[in-house]
Parts: sequence; C-alpha cells; structure tokens
Amino acid sequence: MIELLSTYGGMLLRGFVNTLIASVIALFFSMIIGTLVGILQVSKNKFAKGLANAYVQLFLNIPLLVIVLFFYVVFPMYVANINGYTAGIIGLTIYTSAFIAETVRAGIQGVPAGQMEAGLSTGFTYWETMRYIILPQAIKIVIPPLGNQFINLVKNSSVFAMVAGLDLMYYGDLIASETFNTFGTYTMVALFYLVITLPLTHFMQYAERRLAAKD
Amino acid sequence: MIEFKNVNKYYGDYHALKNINLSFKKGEVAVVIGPSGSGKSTMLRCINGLEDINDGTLMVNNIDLHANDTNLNSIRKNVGMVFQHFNLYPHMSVIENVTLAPIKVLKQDPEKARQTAEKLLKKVNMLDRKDHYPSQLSGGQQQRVAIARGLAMNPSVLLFDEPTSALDPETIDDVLDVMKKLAREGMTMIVVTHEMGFAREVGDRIIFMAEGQVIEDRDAVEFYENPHDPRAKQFLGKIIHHA
Amino acid sequence: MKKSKKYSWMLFLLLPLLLLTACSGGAIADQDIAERIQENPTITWGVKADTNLFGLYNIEEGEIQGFDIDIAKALTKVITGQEGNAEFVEVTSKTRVPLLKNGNIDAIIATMTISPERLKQVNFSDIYFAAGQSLLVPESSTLNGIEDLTKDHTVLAVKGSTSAQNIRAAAPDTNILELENYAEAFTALQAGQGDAVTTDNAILLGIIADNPGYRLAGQPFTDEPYGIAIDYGQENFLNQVNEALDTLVQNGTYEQIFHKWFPDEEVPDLKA
Repeated sequence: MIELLSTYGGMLLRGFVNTLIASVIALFFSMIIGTLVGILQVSKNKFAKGLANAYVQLFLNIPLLVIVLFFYVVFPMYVANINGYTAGIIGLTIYTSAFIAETVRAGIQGVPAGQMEAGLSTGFTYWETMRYIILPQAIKIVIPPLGNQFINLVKNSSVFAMVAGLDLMYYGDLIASETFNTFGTYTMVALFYLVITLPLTHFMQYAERRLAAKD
Repeated sequence: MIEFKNVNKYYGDYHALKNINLSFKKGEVAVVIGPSGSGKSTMLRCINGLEDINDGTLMVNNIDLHANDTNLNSIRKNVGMVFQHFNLYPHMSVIENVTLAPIKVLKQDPEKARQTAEKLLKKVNMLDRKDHYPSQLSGGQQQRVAIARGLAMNPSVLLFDEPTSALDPETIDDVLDVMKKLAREGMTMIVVTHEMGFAREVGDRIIFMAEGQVIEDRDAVEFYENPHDPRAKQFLGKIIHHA
Repeated sequence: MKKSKKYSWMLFLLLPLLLLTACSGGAIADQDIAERIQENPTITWGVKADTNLFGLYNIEEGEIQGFDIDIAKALTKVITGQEGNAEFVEVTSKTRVPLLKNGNIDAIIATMTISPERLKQVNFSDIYFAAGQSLLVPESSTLNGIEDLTKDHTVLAVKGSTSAQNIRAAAPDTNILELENYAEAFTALQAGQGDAVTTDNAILLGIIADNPGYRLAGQPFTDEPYGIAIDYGQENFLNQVNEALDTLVQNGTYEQIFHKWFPDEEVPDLKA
C-alpha cells in the first residue's frame, strides 16, 4: 500500500481534488435547483407545479449513469462540446437536485398548514411567508435527510469514472488495471472518499443538534 | 365596514355558505355561534381572504374582496386573525412572533416595533415571557401572545376563530379576560365561539348560523333569553347544559 | 525404501493442512488443470464479449463469436478431442486476472498483450496473434500517424490496456482519456470528446468494418503480441496449449481461422 502511494499518490490526489471540487459545485447548484423545484412542487400555480413534478419524476427515475452519458455523448453532438468532468457535474447536479426537491417538498409539507395561514393573515405574501416562516421550520425537518443526499452525492460522483471524468474513481480504475493490485488500490480510493464523507456526516449531525437546541 | 351581499361559497358540490347577507359596523363586537359544519368559520375566513367566495359581493373597508385586481395582502394588514390552534411561529421567541410582521410588512423601525410589542404583551399579561419560545408556554399563554401578534398590525378588525376551544379549562378565563378588555376599549371584533358568558357580557349581537345560513342575527341578551328558531333553542340548551 | 519411510510421517502433518485448504476453496485454484482435463474434459476460457472480430456477443445467435473464440475451440479440440468441450466466460480488462487467479477460468484468450508487467502476475502462452497499436480517426481527420499528435489533441483509450500506457510513452504531450471499453471509447470519438481512438489495429479494423467514415491513421507504431494467459503453477496445461497451437499452425487450421476473420490481412509469421 505504501509502495502504491509513493508511485501513484499524485494521481490519487489529483482525482481526490477533482472529486472534491466537483462535489462542492454539484452540491451548491443542486441545493439551489432542488430547493426551488421543491417549493414549486407545493405552489398553487398549476403550471409551475406540473413542471416541477415532471422534472422530479423524470430525474428521480433515470439512473445517474444514463443522465451523465447523455451529457457526455449526446449533448456535444447537438449543443456544445463539454468534457467528461463537466458532463459529470451537470448530470450529478440534475440527478441530486431531484432528490433534494423531494426532500424539501416533504419538509415544507411537514410544517403545519396553520403556519401559512398565520403568515398570510398578518399581511405577508405567499413568498414572504415561505421565506420568513415556512422555510426556517422546514430546514429543521430536512437537515437529516438532506445530509444523506449530500453523502450520496459525493459517493455518486464515482460514475465520473465511466466518462473519463478524471475523478478519484477514474484514477483508481487506471491504477488498479495497471498494477493489478485491485484490493490495495480500491482500499486507498475508499479511504479518500471517507476523507470527504466522514467530516460531512459530522457537520450535518452538528447542524442538526444546533438547530434542535433552539426550541 | 364589512358587508356580505348574497354571498355563496361551495367546496365542490358542497354548498358551504348559502346567500349570506351580513354587515358589521366599526366598534362592534359580534359573536357567531352555531353547530359544527354550520359555516361560521368559513364565513370568518372569507373576511381575510383565506377562503375565496364563489358569488355575491364581500366588501371589507370599501374594497371588493372578490374583484380580480384586489390585493389581498393590503386587506389582511388591516384584518387580524386569532386561530383556534394559535399558530405561533415555533422557531421564534414571543417578542419575535409579535414584531415580525410590523418590521417586515409595515417596515417599522425594529426598535419602535419592539416598544409597541412590549406594550401589547403587557396588555395581554405576557411581558414577563417575551423571550420564551412557544413550546415553553401553556395553550392560554400562547393564545394571548397570538392576540398580541394580531394587534401589533394595528388592524381595524380582529377575527377570532374559536379562540378558546383548544384550551385547558383553567386557562380559558385568562384569554377571555383579555378579549373582554379589548371589547371594552372599542376594538371591532367578530368572534366565533361557544362562550355564552362572553357573548352576554360584551357581545353587541349574536349571529346564529346553521347549515350554511344565517338563522338569527339579534341583540345578544335578547337572543340568549328568547331564541326564536327551534334549532337555536336546541343548540343553546346543549351548550349551556355543558357549561 | 528407507527414504520413503523417513518422509512418510510428514504426510500426517500435511493431512490437516490439505483438508483446510480444501475447505477454504483454494483447492480449485491449486488443482492441476491438465490432470483435471483427463477426468473432466472441459476447458473454461475467459473471453471478451465486446470486441468485434475477436470476441463479440451475437444477439441473434445467442453466443459469443470471433477469432479468439474460434482459436479457443480449435485448441480445445486438439487437447480434449472435442470442440464442444470449450466453455466461455465473459471477462473485462478488470476482471480477467482475478477470475484466472481464483480458478473460475482456466485461461484468458481475450486480446491480451504479453507484457513484462503482466508476466509478474500471470504466465503467457506463445504468441497466437501478432498485433500492433494504431490510431483510428474520422475520414476527415488531418492526423496521419502518431507523429502528428500535439498537446492540443486528445486520444481515447481503454482503461487498463497496454495501449493506454504505450500512447502515453509515444506521445507524452497529448491528452489521454481512458474509458471503460472500446464501444465507449468509440462513442466518445463520435461525440467529439477526442481526436482519435488508439488500440491494436485488429480491433480498430473491426470497428471500421461496422462504421464507415473512419480510417486508420498510418502504420502501427508498436509490436503487441497477443498471448493466452495461464496462471503460474499450471505449466503442464501451458505446455498442452503451446503444443496445440503449433499443431493448428502446421495443419492449416490457424490460417483458415485467420482468414475467416481478417480476409484482407496477411497471415503473420508467429515465430518471427
């Protein structure tokens, strides 16, 4: 394992950094898109609601790899040339945002209906009520499932390897097939993933405790 | 200031409000009673637009609520509402519950909003709990905070939707005392309740509803002593017997 | 007589050990294949199922077909007397060595290039196909050989293949992207994700046969002999395979199979 690190450590590190950056970007955008779509799913506007539901149903039910391959293979033929890394980030963002939207929708619906009525009754608009009253309460409900989505996002980024996405798994595959040291390589890869996911898990647990302490 | 003219409301096939004609004057305390499913809460919720009407006209402060160009928010700023289940914001302290709308909706200076809120909390005897969270309060205490929250917008009318029916008996009187105090100060109030003591003491009139219709609309004491409609008689007999 | 008596007591010590290894499943991998064939004359070959001309799954026929398959069948016939004794297990670049090591397959005949690195892990038979690495490009490409590659070009290869390592050495400035298999590498080329696909010319010719509009860019730039991989410790079986291979070349079967799959190519001299 030491020998593996000294020869291929640079490759693994490059993959690790790429995975980390891709995860952060995908997490940021999937949070924004997912929250918006989740809010639209409970909106009164039938058109917006239908569109949001269609988005969620579509991407919730297609394998991530298929979405990523679409952006890697089909998208460049008709729209713009993007590489495997970019295709992976776009696919991962879209895929994860559907799960986050479902989580956010469930969180909003978990806030009692009386809260919306109370907000409206004091002169807030629908969106203001969402912002000041519903969403702050929904956050508490969604933090634990959202944490799971974040962890899944990091792990799911391993599909980048299938489209030459230069991520941790991609380099892991290269090293394993070059050295035939399958066990050692993938153990190293697993450890690198844990470097991202374990702190993330602890951070989400911390956030959960902090929010729970408030009331 | 509030006027129902031939108002009808349906939930699908269910005719919830049947041809309602009512008007409320400034400074008036009206008590609405009736068996469950009589449409009294629905009528109340129409006044601040939580329910839409299907036909007829409903004027609030000379604005037609059903018209397309009506901005419901501007009406709601002037119509406060107190709910059966209080609906306080659980993630905010008592004082934050009261100051949120004045600061965000009326754009009041936070310091001024806080001073007003403290005055109102004193009025409802909740000033000593201003930094507590709703989950730390009893039902009666929460409801008094909810009244202060409604008053903070300085509304022209305050609507009460069965404000005491979710409360423990020993906390009901604290809430009723606050409501009586408001009534004597000249607040315009429309109260859906079964509290006949309150109705007799401060109510100017009683509106009895059944099956989506207004059956009786008379002076409170007169109604209490001599209800005309047999349904009103029967209903009155039941709630007094229970009280 | 004296000697055998001296060592016979050691057998009693070894007996529990033998039982242990038998129980732990190691026995399959350790078993001598040549001996086993005498009792049960089937040979299990690890083959590719995604490589045109060598090993490709034919959906209509419901079986894998190709040069590797026909060679394996012919070798099986020479060794066991029956072509039908050949069994095939689909492998990938990633799974083939572990499957061989744990005894699930007896040999790998799957476009596998003999290399010093691989010889550390597995043994190889004599050369059964002499390939060379080349570049596959669109008809319209300006590339005419490896010397035309610059740092602005991207070459697509298959993960874990020798060709990926070769191209890195031969064109160090060029970007190399490695994909799961030839199909994905070629799809990526079609999608404009790279300028060329590199691997053995024989495989590239297989792709061209099915996809007009593509050509090879210049002559092969490496010598990449394919061998049949057999685990160390199976030298008896290895010898059987090598002898059978000689037989096929001498009796003309090899030439016949070669021309069935590569009608336009010249039969190479395997001993060269």
